[in-house]
Amino acid sequence: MNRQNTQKRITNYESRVTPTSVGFTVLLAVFAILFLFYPLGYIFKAAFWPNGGFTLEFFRLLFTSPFQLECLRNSVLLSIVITALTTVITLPVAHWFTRYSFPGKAILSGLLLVPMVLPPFVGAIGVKQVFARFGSLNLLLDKLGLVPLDNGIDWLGAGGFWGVVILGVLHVYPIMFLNVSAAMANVDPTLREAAENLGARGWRLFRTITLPLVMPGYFAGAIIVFIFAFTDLGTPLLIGYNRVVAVQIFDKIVEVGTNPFAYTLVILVLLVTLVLFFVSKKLTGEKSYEMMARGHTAGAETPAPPRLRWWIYGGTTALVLVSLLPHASVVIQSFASHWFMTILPDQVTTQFYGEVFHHPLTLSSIRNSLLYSSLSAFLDLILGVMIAWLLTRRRAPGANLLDAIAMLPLALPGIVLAFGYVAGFNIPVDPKHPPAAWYQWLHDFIDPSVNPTVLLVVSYSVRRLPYIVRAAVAGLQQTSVTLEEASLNLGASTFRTLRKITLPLVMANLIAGTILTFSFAMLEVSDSLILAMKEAYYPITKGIYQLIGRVDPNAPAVACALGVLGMVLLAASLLVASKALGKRMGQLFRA
Amino acid sequence: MNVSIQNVTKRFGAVAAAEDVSFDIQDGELFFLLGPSGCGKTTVLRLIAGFYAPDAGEIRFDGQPVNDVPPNQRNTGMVFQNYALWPHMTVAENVAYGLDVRGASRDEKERRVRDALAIVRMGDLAGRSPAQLSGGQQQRVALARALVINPGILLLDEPLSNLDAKLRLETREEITRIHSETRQTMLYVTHDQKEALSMADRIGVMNAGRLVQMGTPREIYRAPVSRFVADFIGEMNFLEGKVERAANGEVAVATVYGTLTARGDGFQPGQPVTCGIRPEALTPAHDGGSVNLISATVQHATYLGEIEQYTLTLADGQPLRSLETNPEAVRRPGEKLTLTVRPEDIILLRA
Repeated sequence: MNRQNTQKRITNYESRVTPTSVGFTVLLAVFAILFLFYPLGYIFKAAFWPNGGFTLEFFRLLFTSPFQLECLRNSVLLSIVITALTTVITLPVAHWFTRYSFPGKAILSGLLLVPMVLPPFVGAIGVKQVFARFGSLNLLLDKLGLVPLDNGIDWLGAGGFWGVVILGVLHVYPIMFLNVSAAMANVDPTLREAAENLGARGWRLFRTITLPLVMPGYFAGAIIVFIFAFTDLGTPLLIGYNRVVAVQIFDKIVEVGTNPFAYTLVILVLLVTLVLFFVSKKLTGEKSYEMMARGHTAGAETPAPPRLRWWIYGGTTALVLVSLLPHASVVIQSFASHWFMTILPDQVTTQFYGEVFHHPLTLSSIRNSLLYSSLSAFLDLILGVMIAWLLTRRRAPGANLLDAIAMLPLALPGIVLAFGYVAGFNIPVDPKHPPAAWYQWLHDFIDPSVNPTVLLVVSYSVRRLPYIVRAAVAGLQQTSVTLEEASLNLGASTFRTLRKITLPLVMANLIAGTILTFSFAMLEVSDSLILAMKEAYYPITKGIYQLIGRVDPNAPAVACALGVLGMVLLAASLLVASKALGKRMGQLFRA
Repeated sequence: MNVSIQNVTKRFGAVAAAEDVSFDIQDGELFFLLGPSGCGKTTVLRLIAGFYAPDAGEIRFDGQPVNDVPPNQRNTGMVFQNYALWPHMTVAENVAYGLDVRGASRDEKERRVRDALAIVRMGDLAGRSPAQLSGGQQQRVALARALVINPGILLLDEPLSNLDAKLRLETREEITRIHSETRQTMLYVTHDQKEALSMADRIGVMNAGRLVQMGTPREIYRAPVSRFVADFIGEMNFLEGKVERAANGEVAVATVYGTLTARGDGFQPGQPVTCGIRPEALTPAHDGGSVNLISATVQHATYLGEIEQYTLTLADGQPLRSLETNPEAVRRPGEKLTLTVRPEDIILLRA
């Protein structure tokens, strides 16, 4: 009896329960249940058990409605085309940048990543001005005598399909580039040398050795690209290419209480992304880490031959220039008092920037965005530290589960989460029967149709949580555990150790991660469009969307000015973040 | 503080890093755990610090069980192998940390930090950051940081392993001096037998998770209980044989090299034994009359000034090592040599 008691008391310190670890676990569990599992569960319930009984009726309707099938087909086609084009563009560039050295490489590889931080949503405003039937590009081609304007090329093609493709490709190719070049750099050069030694070279060498070794990294990147294309709401919406799943979901938000069809679409999107996400996890698995642990081998790069060098410079510069085009056009448009049927605007003005700061909608949207983004970055910081600490310093039994949950938002499209929030936190109040005080408080504080602040902040945080967790985990892994043990040994509590020793040591990583989450929250599209329902609560992105749709002739230019301001804010904060994180920043965006 | 380890076992998965380990450390003692890497000595140290909890058995401080006491309430001072100085704090701040935690007043804190840094002779560098210190200086700060809290026991985890040979000698003397000045109870973990033999009050030798022998440096060296201990500490020649006669504390062992006479009790005729002979106990015989004569051929001689080391081969080809202090003659390879060993210098190990 006694013996049993003593045995029960004995636990490993590593998993020993301390007030800090219990507190963190409980807080995280409550947060996850409330803002992750409850809304997702709500969607599942509404899609499969709309009236209490289980039914697949809505899925049957979905797959028999010609219109829905068309939307689905469009979305899939869009994603495939974007993924394929991204592949074609990225493979040679990644090859150049991992195998060859050439002057200006560092600057060029930095420039290649710029489009990733330019919101495609903002670029969508500019893309029309450049690529439309009578846009700058066709006017330029006409002027150069290459293509007469009467025969102008329909760049946006098929109701905007190609416009969405162009913007998508130009936005996501850096992510593919990072994944593929990381995979290529991780291939031990001796593996290639061994094949060369046995007589393989050129295409054969690439096909038999490099390609199979790079494949997992490539697929991981391709899946991110595919998921992005499949779930992106902002770009098709602004281009006006509305027959895609994401826009259909957005359109059905208003009837969320009455039309269970939208839930079915959301479930479909969620299933597609989850399946792809786990496929990519399987592909990258532990093998890629093993290769990474060996580190980069010096001498893997050779100087580029002069002829190839010109290909590299030409190709990379063209790619960067084209990807900056839509956003450059937005910048120009924000200064253009009149721009119609000319390559560049006739008159330049700064009046729209003045309007941004006077217009009630834009002014409040900037204020709102700053507030939401700061709050969400702060929330992410707290959540990220708790999760990263539990993951790296308390390898408790639930660690794998916690890791999986923390990374889940990578596979969770903004539209799905936002939809779940709108549906799950709809807290109606009947004015004739005043409810209990707590219920009224919930209604005023949480219901997004009344005040979206809480849910916007939470959704921004949840969506960017994986980035800050990764940043914090990376910092903690680089910091020796003995530094904390030394503190415990001297009598400090777990929490004091965390505060005094651990956090100061990983501060750079935390600051960088926080800035990243802040800046992405500033230009988060789908959550903002869906959750912000009253003008007083609009963030910048919804403000832009609203302005674009206005009849007021100045409104689009003001929207552009607002977009430019957003990009400037984003660029400034990313600059600070990359200073703090250095080269490790790229790692945050890999699969 | 007395520390008592009672039947402690710690497993990592299927591997027992420490198995049924028991020993006591007396108050004021400088106790060593000695063993090859992976023998479980650091595991025992971390069990005492509380970073691991035992799977079985009990750890007591002054008679009180501490199995359930978290590491931050055990009042042990640990010197980590990599020092674990906090890079974002100065030397003084590192040392003051444990006092901060204990809520010491400002005056007291200043005084005790100054004293602790003085003990390790680092008073001048209190304002430096750890990155500006050499390895030896970092080591001293780590020592001061652990000493300043007046720990019940000071835990040293291979504290000299990151230092160069000269510093290692100096720091060894430093720790011995601090121990004799403060009479601080210490547990020192090392794989270096020279450290253990020269510094320890008592040594526990560990192998494969088990404590195989415990005793003073002299006992461990002169009377190892097993072939492992004999081999691990110092050098040892092993000659296999069988007991011929055993009476009155004298044992005659028949070997293929002749009969050797040794001291020992409780041996039976016919029992197989191994005779362990230290190289320094095996010296060239100067006159023909002594016992335990062994003839061998010089293979190789290394002249070290005060001593000469010989590698020899016995009649059946088995190698043998021997030392000669203040060597009288030059011995060349191929030369036949007759060696002798005193009966009390033969260690009898039961097979």
